[in-house]
Amino acid sequence: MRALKKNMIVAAAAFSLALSATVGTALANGAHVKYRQQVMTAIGGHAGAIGTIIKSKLPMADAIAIHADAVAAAAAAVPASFEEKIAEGPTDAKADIWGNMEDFLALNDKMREASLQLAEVAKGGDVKATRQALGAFSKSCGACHKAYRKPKEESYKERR
Amino acid sequence: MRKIAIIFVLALIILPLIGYILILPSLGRDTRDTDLDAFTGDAERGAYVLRMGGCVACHTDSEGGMFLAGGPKIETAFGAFYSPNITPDPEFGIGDMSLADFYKAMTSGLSPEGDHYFPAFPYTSYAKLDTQDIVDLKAYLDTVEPAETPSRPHDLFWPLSDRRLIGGWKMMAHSPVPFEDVGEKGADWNRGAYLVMGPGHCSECHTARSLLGVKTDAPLEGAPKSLFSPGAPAIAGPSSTIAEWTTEDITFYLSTGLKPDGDVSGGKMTDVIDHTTSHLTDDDLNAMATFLLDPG
Repeated sequence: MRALKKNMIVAAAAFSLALSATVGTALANGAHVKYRQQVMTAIGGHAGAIGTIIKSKLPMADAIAIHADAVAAAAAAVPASFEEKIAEGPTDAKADIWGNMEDFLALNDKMREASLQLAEVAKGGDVKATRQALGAFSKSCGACHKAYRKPKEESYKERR
Repeated sequence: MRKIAIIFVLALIILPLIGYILILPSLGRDTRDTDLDAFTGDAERGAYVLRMGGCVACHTDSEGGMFLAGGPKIETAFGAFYSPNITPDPEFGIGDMSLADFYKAMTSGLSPEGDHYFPAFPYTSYAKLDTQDIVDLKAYLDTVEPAETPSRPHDLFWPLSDRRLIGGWKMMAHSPVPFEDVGEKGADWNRGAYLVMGPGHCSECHTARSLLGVKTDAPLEGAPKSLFSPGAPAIAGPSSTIAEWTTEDITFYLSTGLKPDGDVSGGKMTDVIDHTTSHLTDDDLNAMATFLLDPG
């Protein structure tokens, strides 16, 4: 009888340990996903700011290069933010990322180069050329989203 | 009793056969009656029509293929389509096509031999094109560098691989009537409507289809993922995803790919922007936006 009780205590302890480990992992996963989403949101925020300056002809053309350089700086944080393989839960990251990490990182590098190029062109002050460089930068974002981000229809944000 | 059963079964086989052999071949062959001799093609304008029509995205394999020498595999529920070589090479391209042949292809979806084209070639939209635009496009295509690249045959499942059946479908889905201006709307709106519903063929993806693949009467109001479509968001109607966008937001998106919130989509629209809309004039993009915000 006592042996049984002891066994039960051990089992309960093991179970709660396993549970807290799982919950812990889930929390850590959640933080990883949240972080990489925030990195992407930061990049999108700067890109959106550049778009608003150009399309609304705001007198802040000098800031375009600031935002483009900020994107390049944030791009350097992307590799680490995707080190953990998490493709489940509230994320639009495709599992393919971790099977093609080299390609994923190469696309990130291209995006970084395009943002630096955009900053250079913006400093020149030619609006049309800046717009074109912004188009090239967007394309570099889209190339990676196309391969490694779930399409809108399959996004976790879509209510089913 | 047995006799009746036999007759019934035979009818079940014979009637569709009669329909298939005698009636089907005559369906879906409406053409425009146009005197093409009255038109002269302008190749320079035609180069722009090529962009308006989004021809490049499907007819060029961006990974190493020659310009307009045939596109990459397009996977669908019916199998794989390969868009053909449309350079003027007489053997591998469309160099042998007369202007009349080309006009028939664009407006009626018929090959020079009279076979139906699969509607992956969006002739239900191209049928709305102005004759002048088609003539200019042909003039431009004649100047493109010929490519000796053989067109790949489509790889479709039977019976949908049977082109004859398309004649029946065209009865419901196709009419070769050119776009007509809506009187009470302005020139900008009409130009936009023409670009969106005609050459731009936006409705091919953004309009939902019936079970038979016919576009429904809710143009551009979004299409769920189906046998006929990978799905595309609503850009008109009550659930339009761009209802809150300004004209500038739309033209800026179509020319740079950047949405107002700074996001960039990774769907098919990236190719559309890359090969089509980013090549259009600001005036034309503005016209498209004007129409899209008030398609009524």
